[in-house]
Amino acid sequence: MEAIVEQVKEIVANAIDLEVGEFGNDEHLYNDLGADSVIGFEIITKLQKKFGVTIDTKDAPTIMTVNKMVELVNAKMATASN
Amino acid sequence: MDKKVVVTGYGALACNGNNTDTFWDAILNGKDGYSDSHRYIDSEFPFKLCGLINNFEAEKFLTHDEIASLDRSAQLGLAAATMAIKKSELNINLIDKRRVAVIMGSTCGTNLAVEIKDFVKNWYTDREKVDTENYTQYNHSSIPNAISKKFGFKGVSYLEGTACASGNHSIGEGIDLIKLGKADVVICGGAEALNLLPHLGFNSIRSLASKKCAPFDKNREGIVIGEGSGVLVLESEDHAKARGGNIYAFLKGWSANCDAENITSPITDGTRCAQLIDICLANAGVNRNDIDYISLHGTGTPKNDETEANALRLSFGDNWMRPNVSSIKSMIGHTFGAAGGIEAVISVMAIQDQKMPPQINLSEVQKGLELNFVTETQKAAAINNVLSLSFGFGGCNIATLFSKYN
Amino acid sequence: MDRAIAITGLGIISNLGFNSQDYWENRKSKQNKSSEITTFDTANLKARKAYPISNFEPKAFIERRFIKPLDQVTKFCISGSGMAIKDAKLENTDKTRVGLVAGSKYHGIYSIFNIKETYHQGGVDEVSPVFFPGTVFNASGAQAAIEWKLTGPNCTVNTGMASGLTAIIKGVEYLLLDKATAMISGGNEMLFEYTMNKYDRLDRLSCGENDEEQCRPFDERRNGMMLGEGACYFSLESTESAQKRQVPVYAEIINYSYNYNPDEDSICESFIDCMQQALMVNGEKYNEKIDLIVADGCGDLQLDMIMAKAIQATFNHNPFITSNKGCLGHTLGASGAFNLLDGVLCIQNQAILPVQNLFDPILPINFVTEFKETTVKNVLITSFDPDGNNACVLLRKA
Repeated sequence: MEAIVEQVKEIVANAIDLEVGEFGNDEHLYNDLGADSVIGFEIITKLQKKFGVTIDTKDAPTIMTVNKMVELVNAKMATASN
Repeated sequence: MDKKVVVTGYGALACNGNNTDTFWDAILNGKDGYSDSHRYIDSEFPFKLCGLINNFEAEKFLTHDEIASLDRSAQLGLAAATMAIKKSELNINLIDKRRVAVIMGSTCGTNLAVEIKDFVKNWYTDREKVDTENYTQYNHSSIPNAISKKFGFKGVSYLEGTACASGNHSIGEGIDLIKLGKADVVICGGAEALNLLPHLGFNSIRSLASKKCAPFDKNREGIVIGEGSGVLVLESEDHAKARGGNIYAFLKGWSANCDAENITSPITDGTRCAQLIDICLANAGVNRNDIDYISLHGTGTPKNDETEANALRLSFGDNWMRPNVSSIKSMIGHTFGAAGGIEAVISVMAIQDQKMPPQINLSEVQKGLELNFVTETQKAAAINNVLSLSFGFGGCNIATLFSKYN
Repeated sequence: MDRAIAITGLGIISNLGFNSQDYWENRKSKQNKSSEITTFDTANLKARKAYPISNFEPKAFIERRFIKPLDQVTKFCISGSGMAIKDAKLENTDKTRVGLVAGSKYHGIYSIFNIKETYHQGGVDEVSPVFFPGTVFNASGAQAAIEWKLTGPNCTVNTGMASGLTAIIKGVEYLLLDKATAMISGGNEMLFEYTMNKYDRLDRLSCGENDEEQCRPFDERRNGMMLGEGACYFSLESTESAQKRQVPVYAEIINYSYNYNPDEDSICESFIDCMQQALMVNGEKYNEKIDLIVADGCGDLQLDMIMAKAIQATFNHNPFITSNKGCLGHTLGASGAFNLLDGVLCIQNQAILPVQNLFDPILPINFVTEFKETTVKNVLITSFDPDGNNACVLLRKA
């Protein structure tokens, strides 16, 4: 089974129209990858659906890179299973 | 080119008032018109709040045929235009109808036509069942054309579509048509009917407010979507005086620019909007220290309100707390293309009555966004100059300036 | 108008090509690139064909990397406007003084239906926000401004099928009032399933077996219009500005008119009135000076006759007449801009482009059916929407 980071990266890659190998996990969604808030919300919607978690609007500015998204998703899933 | 443009008629309706007088009365008294949108929007929809005109009395303004054939946006526009033309006391039979122009703004236009009569279900399951009205009413230019048609106007007639700034944009372009000598009279403003699409769209980018529209408030969440229409009748001063028309205000000038940055987010440091205000003041020949009231765009989204507060600070410098300001979107929601038209009507009525609309739902102003908000109802003041601001999707910005006519 | 406005740049995204040479050659040789529609199902329709653009490569024209959220009509607009800017060498001009006016009848209809489709499939939570910004009328024009950094006035106008020419008129007006140094104006439209269904249901489209489905402007055998798509944009500026910048001028706009007709029984009179207004230039009647009329014939049974009668009533000296819809189809909101393009290129090349598929004209007026080299100095461009909007532009050789 794919690691979470790979699944997250695939969602982001699809949203920003790049191959997974074409960008890094610490590149900023807006500043480095040319996306904006609309794409940001698209990614959040897909992450919620894929992992069964709820991501608050106030969390959005804290998850601007693949790694930060993975952190949040892991944290949310851990809270849910406790 | 040196013609002076004046306002000789106005009409508006929104969720808190289904005709000009009840609307203005509700506005001055800080009354909102929100309702539970269950009866309109899918009951599964998470956000139930909207600014629907529950008591739209179409038959008071429209013929039976117009009600049957026109999309709701066109109906609302026709209602406001009818009130405005009546207010202007224009003798339709005496004026040269080839020199009456109609410019109306809208954002969603006739999108309701592809929602009514189970359109979506039929479109995706059985095309034969799609009603012919889903085709014939889907015609955005019918919004201005319905007005031209009803009154037999044969001049310029078009839809101006700069999103949330379109109503205000139409008014600015109305000034230009008169100055260019292309029209003696311009019926202009905006109209928007509530439809599902912006609810879905704004919900997907989490910009809908769940409880209320609270511009500049610390806890503001976003917009409440409303519907309505606001229309002005503009003429050159000479034309109005020659026919003995009542002059309600001067429309002294306007400006338009574009952020050219992002399709949904404004340039939050306010620089572009400050430039817009500066150009408008110069175009109108009015000093910023003589602005008494500003009708804010004030949608209630975090980014718009930040942009607007920054723009006013930049443009007004040390005097940014001098002009009184308020956003009527706090009471009627964001009516998109109609907003600029409705806000033009309240600008004129503020000058007429020497009273300013309040802003409601302001419990605690967001730190850094403080302005001289009007929060009292029925607040009287000496109002000589009013600035009306509109900022549309795509960074299309418009400002218009109204002055007291002496 | 108190002064002429110069056309200094062209932007063409069309079924006939993506530059003026290809467009000219294909129009000249009466190319008909209509084809069976393959991008959506036509099984429930009477019509089967249109004039789609099949070889459009947006990355050849658009500079930003991330173009996925842009629908086709927006890609057309960005591409066409960018081409016009480059053609006029406006890249290094102060962009606070460069604005844009876009005209379209159906705008971001793809984006609108994308939201509907995702909602229909999965409800509220399935709605993707990606195409939401594309649903507002000014999305195309605003995205063009974002791409080319145009911070001057940005407008989007809709007069139905007359939108493209109305957009050019608005661009002229902004320049006459000195609100910009240059205005990039034009029209854009995309072929879409809903639009095709609409006109098919309303019996406006040509249809039939054995080559019956044809766009035959002004022909006795015409049986309806056919749809096309594309974008056509122009860089407009004052003649002084063009001189100062030392850029070539394709042609000059010396007058315009636009109006509305509220009475279904007076379509012809209203259209004549619009033409006559455009032909009155500072008190001088230009009727006899017109060498060419670019007419809005589209193959519609009633409308083509009305247009032809209006032209017959307005001109006594039998000027040449052309129409491009036999080659392009009806590009709806872009069509008025393509009509202006025909006029500009005829002036530039001193020749008249022919009407495609016209063998038996409905009136004995001077329709050009074979390419003809001749003096072309003054051209009247017309555009018309059957709901009542008319627009005309008077063009002159510089």
